[in-house]
Amino acid sequence: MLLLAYEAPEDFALRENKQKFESYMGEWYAYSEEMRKAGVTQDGAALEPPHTATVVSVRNGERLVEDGPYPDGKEQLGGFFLIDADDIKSGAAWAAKCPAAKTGFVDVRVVPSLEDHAK
Amino acid sequence: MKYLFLLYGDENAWDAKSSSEKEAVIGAYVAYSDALRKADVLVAGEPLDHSRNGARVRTGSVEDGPFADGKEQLGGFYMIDADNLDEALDWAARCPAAADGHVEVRPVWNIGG
Amino acid sequence: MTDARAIADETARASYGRLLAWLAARTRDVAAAEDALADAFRAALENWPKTGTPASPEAWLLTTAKRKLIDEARRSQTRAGGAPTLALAAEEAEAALREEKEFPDERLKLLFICAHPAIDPSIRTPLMLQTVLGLDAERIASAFLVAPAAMAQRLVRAKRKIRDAGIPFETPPKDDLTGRLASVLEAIYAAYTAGWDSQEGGETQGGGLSKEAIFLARLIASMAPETAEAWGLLALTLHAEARRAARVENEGYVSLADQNTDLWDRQYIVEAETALARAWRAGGIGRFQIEAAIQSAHAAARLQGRDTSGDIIVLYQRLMELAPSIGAAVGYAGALAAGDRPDEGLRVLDEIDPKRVDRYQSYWAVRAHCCALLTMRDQAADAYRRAIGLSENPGMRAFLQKRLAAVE
Repeated sequence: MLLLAYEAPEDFALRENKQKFESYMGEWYAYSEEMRKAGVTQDGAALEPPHTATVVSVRNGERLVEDGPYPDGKEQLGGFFLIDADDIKSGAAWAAKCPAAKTGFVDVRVVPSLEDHAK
Repeated sequence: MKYLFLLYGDENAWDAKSSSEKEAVIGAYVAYSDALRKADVLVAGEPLDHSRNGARVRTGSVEDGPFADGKEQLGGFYMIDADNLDEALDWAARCPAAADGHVEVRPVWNIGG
Repeated sequence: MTDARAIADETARASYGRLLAWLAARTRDVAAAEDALADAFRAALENWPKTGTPASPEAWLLTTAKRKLIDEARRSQTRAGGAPTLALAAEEAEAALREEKEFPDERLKLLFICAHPAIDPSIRTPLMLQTVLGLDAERIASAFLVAPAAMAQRLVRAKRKIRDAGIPFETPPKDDLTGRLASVLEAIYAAYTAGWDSQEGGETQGGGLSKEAIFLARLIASMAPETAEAWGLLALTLHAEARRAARVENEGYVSLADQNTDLWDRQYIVEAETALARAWRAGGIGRFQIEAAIQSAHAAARLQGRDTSGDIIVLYQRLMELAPSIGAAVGYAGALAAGDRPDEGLRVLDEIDPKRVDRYQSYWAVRAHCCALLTMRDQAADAYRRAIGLSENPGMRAFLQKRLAAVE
């Protein structure tokens, strides 16, 4: 299961805020620590803010490179966790605890197993 | 530097493909993953199931997929290790998703330098 | 005091971009390098009157800026990886400066960064003006007709992207070089046309940044001398600049045919012609060379009394093949009208989708001119009125009103 944490502009701004940086990071550390202790985390990463995004596409053999993000919306991806979860419900339960669920949202997406792939 | 590639494409166009067409696309991804691995830049990568099988969670609410985000949805990701953005963009352009969708390239945050 | 200021100012003009490029290439942080360099210039103004001007002002500024950068990197402890490398590289550069060797000029890399495809095209030119020439956000904002705060914010954002996304300070690889150079040239040309209504007159009017743009055009031509288009761009901007004084008379717009050529700057014209010749020698045709050649033909017509209208038509045909645009089509139509072929000119204009020109002043001005020559008086009057309605420049408005009166 993949948890995608979409943060609001205010959340990204906290990263640059010297006073609030620690409490912002503290929530994320506590959250990932809880998942680690439960033994569900496989992988994960935080991303640089959306102003660093670049979008690539290829049309008629020509490479198009544009300033991102894609798609351009209010909430933007701030990080992800790849977790072990039996079904979408238990994935959603972890998502609800994510700091991003308060001000942004968290998408839960199924990573198909190899058997699903073969189908 | 590590970079995350977010692969966006039209899920419904994928659904409409015949099984041999789907096989060709999967073959292209296998070859691409292999090229990343052989160049020793691949860190991680996963495809994603259709967004209709996913959920969007906000505090106090769960919305079932698919999400009305526009024509293209996230269909998978790769994480690679590249020297700089130019090298990452070279790899992103080779990703099959770039040819009929878009690849968003995001640097991974190296927290604490 | 004034001496120190004069020397600091002179060093700033001559070396700002070189010092900044050098510092930024080593820290990969343009904003931090700018701050450190600004501090160094401030310190120079304080110290030089007391201690006397150092033997090598550049080396002094570099050392001071470097110290600030290293301090800052240690203090913030974030993205500090560059501090030791910076210290080492700075020693080499200072040694080179003391021995009066060539100080490494990395402004080309800086230009490539500013016009990188991952940078929003609309901020590329402001970024160049700020990093290579040291212009402040306020000055740039006024040239681009936007609010200073908004411009400052967009510049900050672009510099953060350069740092955080890992855009490399490198000359692009060969197979990518032509395309990347084209983006640099486009951005420099945008500096030349900044702030003037690009849709008026069919001829570059030259905005508040034309001198800076010509500086950048000279710079890129000297740093990429094998690139024909770099010389083409230089020739184009110089030709346009040569006519600046003649373009306005009693606050009214003066069309090329009516300009007093005594007011043309001959030195610029000579330099433009030399640049155009270099472009031909470098080989490879491009939009800027053709546009420069068109301006060259206009100049020859007025200065030597030659009829170059046929040449100009042929050049516009090439331009339409190579880089079709509404501007090129309107120029082509104007050239046809000048060559006694207004009917063909009108046909060129008719091929453009009317929806695309409902804000395009020069389309209507040229259309009006073609119709007037064909004695289609009603259509001419209509088109003149639309052109007048779209004019920003009072001189242009008055000029068109006179023409309108003649067909009414």
